[in-house]
Amino acid sequence: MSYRASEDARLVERFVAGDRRAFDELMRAHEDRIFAVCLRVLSDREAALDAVQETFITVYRKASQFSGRSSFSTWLYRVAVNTCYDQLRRHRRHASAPLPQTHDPADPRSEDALTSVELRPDLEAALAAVGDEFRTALVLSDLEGLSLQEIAEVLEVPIGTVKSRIFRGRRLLAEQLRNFSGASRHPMGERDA
Amino acid sequence: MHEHDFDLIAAIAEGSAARGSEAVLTGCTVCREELALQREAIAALKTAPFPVMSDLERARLHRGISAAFAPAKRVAPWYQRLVPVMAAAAALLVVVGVGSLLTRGGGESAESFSEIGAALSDSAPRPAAEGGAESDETPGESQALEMATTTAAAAEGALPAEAPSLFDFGTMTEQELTERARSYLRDTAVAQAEDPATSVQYSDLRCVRAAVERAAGMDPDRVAVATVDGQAVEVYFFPAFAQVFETDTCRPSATID
Repeated sequence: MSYRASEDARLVERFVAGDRRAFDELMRAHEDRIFAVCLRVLSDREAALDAVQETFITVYRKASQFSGRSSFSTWLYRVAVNTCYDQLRRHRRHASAPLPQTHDPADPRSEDALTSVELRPDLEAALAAVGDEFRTALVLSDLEGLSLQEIAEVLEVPIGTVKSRIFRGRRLLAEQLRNFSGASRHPMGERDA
Repeated sequence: MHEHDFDLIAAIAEGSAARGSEAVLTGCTVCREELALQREAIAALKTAPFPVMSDLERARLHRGISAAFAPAKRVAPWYQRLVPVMAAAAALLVVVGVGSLLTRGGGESAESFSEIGAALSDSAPRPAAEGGAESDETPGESQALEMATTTAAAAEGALPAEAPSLFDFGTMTEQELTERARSYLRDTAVAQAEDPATSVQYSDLRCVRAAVERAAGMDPDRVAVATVDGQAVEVYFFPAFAQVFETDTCRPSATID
């Protein structure tokens, strides 16, 4: 078990025993990563912040249900991803203005990285155009660096499904990027992996 | 017919395949194209910086989470919410009754008014109220309202039959509160004197039930409200001790002998 994992387990134990400061420590340790995941999945800062907040509220309320079979961070990622999926569903069901699927390019004059898009505009747009399941798999794998096993636990799917989603996600992403750059389309088309 | 090995292609793209594995794909155009796509995607994602929250966003997040777990404002039980309504109804009855007596009594209105005051005082005595038959004081509407409140609440059996006298300790530290409470307990004469403030209505108290239960059914002599170290409290004075309750939760926080 890594230092972070054992530290998380200790903090969860303290929090469940009633130490609110342990929750604050857990949050400080993970909030940036969870924000990154939510922002990549939702492609919108406001929605991502809401999702992070909802994620930690869920963790606060359900910490006593954390069994410890997987690591705390895996459980946290699972809560975050499910929260993001819920948000996407809610937006698609109710909003007349869905979460952005295309993005204006960052203002090159902007000195503040926070006010501009975090990714290359074409990369962000390409990522947003990839389906939710593929995008999430790509985010967890290629941006967050989780192992196939960890992603399988987060998404609660078999490892084979994770591999397939990552493979297809990368293919779709590359095709989108080629489309943006005007390159020729991949000859394999929409064929499944 | 060549079967495309996508696991191998992915491993080569990620750089985790054995050296020389790529040679296997040399004869397969589809495989090589697929490998190129995988590499392009991985390379593009590697250029992505790690997003960070601004200070404002982080503060908003923490504020939102703190707000989600702030203690919920206590909703008064239904019988407490009924008290003002019943008090208003009772006060209306008193006013109508007085009006009708005045109409009947004509020129004897002042004497009749005094008698009514005495009758009301007898039916709902207050420790500090001295309004009797000999007094020139006439019961004003607020006094009648407070008595009616007490009577209505007592009729439900939810509150002590006799309203405690209320006064305001203001804002103080725990030590100051203890000293003030002890001085009231020591000096019965002071405790029986006229209320220094009567702005707090009986129906505003939230912890009467808890206080009476804690004192084994005994009614408090007096009640004070105060803010102690930023926390609203109610102090219930019984003959031999005072009990402090946190107003929000009605948890007993201190006993002062």
